[in-house]
Amino acid sequence: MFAARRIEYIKELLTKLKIDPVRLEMYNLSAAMGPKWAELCTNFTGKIRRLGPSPIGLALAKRKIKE
Amino acid sequence: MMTEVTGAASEQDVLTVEQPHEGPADWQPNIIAFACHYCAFAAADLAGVMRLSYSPNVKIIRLPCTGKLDHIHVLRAFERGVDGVFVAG
Amino acid sequence: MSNNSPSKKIGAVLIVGGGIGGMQAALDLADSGFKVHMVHRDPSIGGTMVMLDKTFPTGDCAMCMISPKMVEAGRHLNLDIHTLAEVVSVEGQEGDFRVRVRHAPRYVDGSKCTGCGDCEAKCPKKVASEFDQGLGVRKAIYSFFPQAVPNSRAIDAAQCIYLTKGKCRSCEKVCKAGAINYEDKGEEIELNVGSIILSPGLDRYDATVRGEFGLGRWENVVTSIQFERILSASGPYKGEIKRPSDERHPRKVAWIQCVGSRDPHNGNPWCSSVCCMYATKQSIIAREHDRQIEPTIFYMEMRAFGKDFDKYVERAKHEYGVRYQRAMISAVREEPGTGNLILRYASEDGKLREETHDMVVLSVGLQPHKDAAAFAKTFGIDMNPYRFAKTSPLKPIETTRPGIYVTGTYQGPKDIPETVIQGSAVAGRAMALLSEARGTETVTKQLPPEKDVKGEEPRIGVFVCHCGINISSTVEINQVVSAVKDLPGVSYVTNTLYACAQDNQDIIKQTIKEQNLNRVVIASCTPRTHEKLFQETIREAGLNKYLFDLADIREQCSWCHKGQNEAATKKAIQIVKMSIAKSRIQEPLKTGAVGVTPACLVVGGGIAGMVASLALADQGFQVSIVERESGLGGLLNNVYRTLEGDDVQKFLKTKIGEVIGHPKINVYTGVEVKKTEGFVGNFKTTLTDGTTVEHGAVIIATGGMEYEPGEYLYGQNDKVVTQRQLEKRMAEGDMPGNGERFVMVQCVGSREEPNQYCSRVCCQDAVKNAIALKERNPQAHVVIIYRDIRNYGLREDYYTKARGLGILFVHYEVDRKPTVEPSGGKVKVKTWDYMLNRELVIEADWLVLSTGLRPHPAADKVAEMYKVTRNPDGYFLEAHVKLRPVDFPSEGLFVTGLAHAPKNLDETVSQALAAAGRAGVILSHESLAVSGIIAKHKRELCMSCLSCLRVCPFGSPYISEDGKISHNEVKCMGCGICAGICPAKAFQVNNFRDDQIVAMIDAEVDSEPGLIGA
Repeated sequence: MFAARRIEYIKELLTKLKIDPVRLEMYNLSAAMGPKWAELCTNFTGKIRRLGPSPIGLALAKRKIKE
Repeated sequence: MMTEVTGAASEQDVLTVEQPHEGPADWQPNIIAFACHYCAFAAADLAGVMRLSYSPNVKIIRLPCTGKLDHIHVLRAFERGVDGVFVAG
Repeated sequence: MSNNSPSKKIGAVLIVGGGIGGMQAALDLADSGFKVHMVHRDPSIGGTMVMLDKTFPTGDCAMCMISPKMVEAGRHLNLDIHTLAEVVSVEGQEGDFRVRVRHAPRYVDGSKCTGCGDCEAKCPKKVASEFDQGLGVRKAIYSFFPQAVPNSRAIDAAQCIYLTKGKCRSCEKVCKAGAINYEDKGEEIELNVGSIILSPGLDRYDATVRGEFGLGRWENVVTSIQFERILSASGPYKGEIKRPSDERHPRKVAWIQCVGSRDPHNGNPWCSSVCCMYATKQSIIAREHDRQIEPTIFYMEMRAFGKDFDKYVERAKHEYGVRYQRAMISAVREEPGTGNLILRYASEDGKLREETHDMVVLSVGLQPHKDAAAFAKTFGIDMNPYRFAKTSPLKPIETTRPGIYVTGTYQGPKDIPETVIQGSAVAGRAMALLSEARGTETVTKQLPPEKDVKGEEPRIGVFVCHCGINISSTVEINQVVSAVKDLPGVSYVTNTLYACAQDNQDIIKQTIKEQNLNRVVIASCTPRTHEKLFQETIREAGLNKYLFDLADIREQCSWCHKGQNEAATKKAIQIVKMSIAKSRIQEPLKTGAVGVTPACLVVGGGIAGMVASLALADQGFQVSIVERESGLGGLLNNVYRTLEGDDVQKFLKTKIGEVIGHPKINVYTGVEVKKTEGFVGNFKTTLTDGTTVEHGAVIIATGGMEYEPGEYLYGQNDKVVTQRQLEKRMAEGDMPGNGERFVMVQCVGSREEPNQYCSRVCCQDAVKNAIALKERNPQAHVVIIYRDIRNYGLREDYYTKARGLGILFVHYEVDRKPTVEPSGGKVKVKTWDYMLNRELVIEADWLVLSTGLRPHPAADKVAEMYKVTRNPDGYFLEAHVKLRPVDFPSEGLFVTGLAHAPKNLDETVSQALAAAGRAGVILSHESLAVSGIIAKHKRELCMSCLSCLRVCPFGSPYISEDGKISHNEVKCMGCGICAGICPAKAFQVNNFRDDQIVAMIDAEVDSEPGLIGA
């Protein structure tokens, strides 16, 4: 519950930093939810794949290439 | 230890803040998950025990409880260019 | 208690049955100086609870709660688990039993098997899974369920192709550990123990006996335990609710209650106690999984008698739209072509109705295990007529043979918390019996002194495990080794076939010495099961056990990325690099210790407080009882008989005598607690008379009060009395006259806002008094006007008996309560009769009110002083509703009796013994170890904003004398919520420090082979 509130707050921060807040999510799982874990890893990865690389990651990569 | 899984299916994945951009061809999403030792970390174990196949992009950092999660962990990850972060408890 | 056997007592205990009750007893005993042998018939411990999906009311997953306990039991130095085993004979007596145990062949050598599961994958023989209740399949070589303890596989001899037909041996070929042994013949061993605890658990009623419900005939009729597996996220449908015939999502789902219960003709006469609540839970969870589902529960009586049960049923009705239909189902038949089911029933008004549902769940009852009779014979104990172990309400956990105790459903139908309570109770009882032998059979590990590594540069040893081919067939081990060997701080890297195997453990220890390592990273499997093992290994080599990190490249890598070898290898390298980054800045941690005052304070001198005190004093601990009244006994002073007929006053007088005469017990009457301070092991409490008591634990047994009614003319008409007053009159010799008419009204002051809970005792009181009236004068008339008769468990017998005696039961609904008015010297009672569909008018000579229970008003102050919470009804809130029913979240504090919730005398006695058992675990230690994984507080950074104080679930931060925050590390459980909320970063959790987490993030990014990595 503390984490959920914190995540909402960080999402706002990310928006200000021009990072899309959907790159950050909070899930609640129980220890019996093995299948759910697998599913959400795949789904979350799929989502990030569609969003493309993070702008910071991209910028860091460009800088690295220049160096 | 909560039980409801929220969001997984209905998440919008439309960019609202960033400009749409393409990654290089060999780009793979790099994702960090912060997982509670007792809940999500155990669920990840179970997924393995059940030999469920899923994408290997997620790397887990174990926390004693998601209440331990700090802003700086998430921000550090994004600052270092990680593409996505999720917190599971 | 009877400590009169002449011979020397053996400090070991045998526990027969490794379900949740047996496990609780085993851990309590093994944690307090006794050697424990656990014998269990299945290949894995766990019992029934492991099959359940979630538990109510919290919705916690059952496996989440029980799995850590199983792991703990499996690893405990003083707890030996004997699976696939049964007891064949018992000789000797209390204090000194000789027991022969027969191990069936497992065909897999547990000391070699690493649990990798390669054999299971190769085994060609598929068998219906017992664990999934026939809805899934397993192999002939198998693990009972994924989290099984012990983890080693077993061969089902009846199904194995080699053992039945002489051909195959696939598992032997694939097992790299050489653990398969087809020649295994099993063995018989002898154990010498001082006490025996029976917790064999239950069988479920075979519902095919009731052919009219169609189980086994219609595919979409399932049992409630099958439905648990259907609900389970790890079950046959992975938590999706489907019906078996066509795997379609059902909409209308019906539960049929009392299948095999309360049915002397086709099933068992008793009430199974748990079905009303599990059906309610299943319907709620079904709705949570799938909002389309429309649940209906067909029931006779809603027996929601436990703590907060009624509230849960109300939630099911109003928040989840669960329909409760009072009806007896007479037949279920399949609608041809659709797989749907047509249920026929008589509704309350007597009319026959039919309804169609997509799926039917039969709420099957509990019964003693099928071998219960042979079992009782083996142990030489008596059974009751129903094949449960024979006990009495005043000694609920003692069998007829001294030194042999019983817990759980073998004593009578019961739910998880009551089973756990009895688990701790039998442990407490055995502790008292064997107190002089405490510590005589247990072993402690001799460890070398810890090497001082302070100031040394990190010299990390990395061991990468193949786990046979479990890791190495997906992850290129050599690539992992070479990727990390040149990292800063890493001084040695190697690979190993099975890191957990005994010989490799020795190699790891030797390597630590030879290479002068000061930190170790093992890349293998999950820390949840193996961290402690490896921590012990490095500790044996002289390293502080916290200089270790386990990188999971199996469960969270190779097993779930099969066939993606390149990606999995990259991920494994990242995981190991993250571990190394954390390891590099690991510090040796001290596991502190605090002394324990071997004494207990018991707040409340009612029967709960007294029973707990005696059990603790018999263990040899000093006990102080604080009672605010002038005498002991509490509410029990007003009770004369139990439902079963025991003489309560005699029992009470005996207990008071024992308490007063006990050399280890001090009684303080007429006083209260004034002030208290301290923490587990070291409390100091001042009483209102100025006495100061030092104690290591506290038991809160503040008891309850009877509700004093303001309704139904009570206090205005002397013909209106309470059950308690009637009981007293009868005890004083009052005889009912011929034709005298008694009307009893149930639920007075219970099950209605603002007291939306069942007081649990009133149905038993009404039936008890009604039977007594009829037995004294069969010419007296008794009518009981009730909402639901809740004579749960074996108490159902007395409900049956009461009806047999001609006592009339008339049902009422809360929105149509009976009304009363004075009528000459009598009381005129009017109530609606739902069967006859008309108003019933009775001229009563006596109106008897079944009044509910309330928590004691003094509980308020006690709660405040000991900083423990209460539920909205004012009853103390236990640490966990299911698995910690007598503990408070803060260690060293326990609750028992009516202070916890309304309950009957036998249950109070069990819970009091349980509190003594739990307190005994703490008090038996000279000092308590404080885990190294705790939050550290830096006062110089702290601004005393008090955030931590508000959020800490364990009360470890406190305001010290200078007005600033201090941190009591003894209370800290290391959850890190304080660290998360502290704005000044004054809290850091050992081994999860912010710099360690940041180092892991950086390592992950730097080793990312994609965009930004190095």
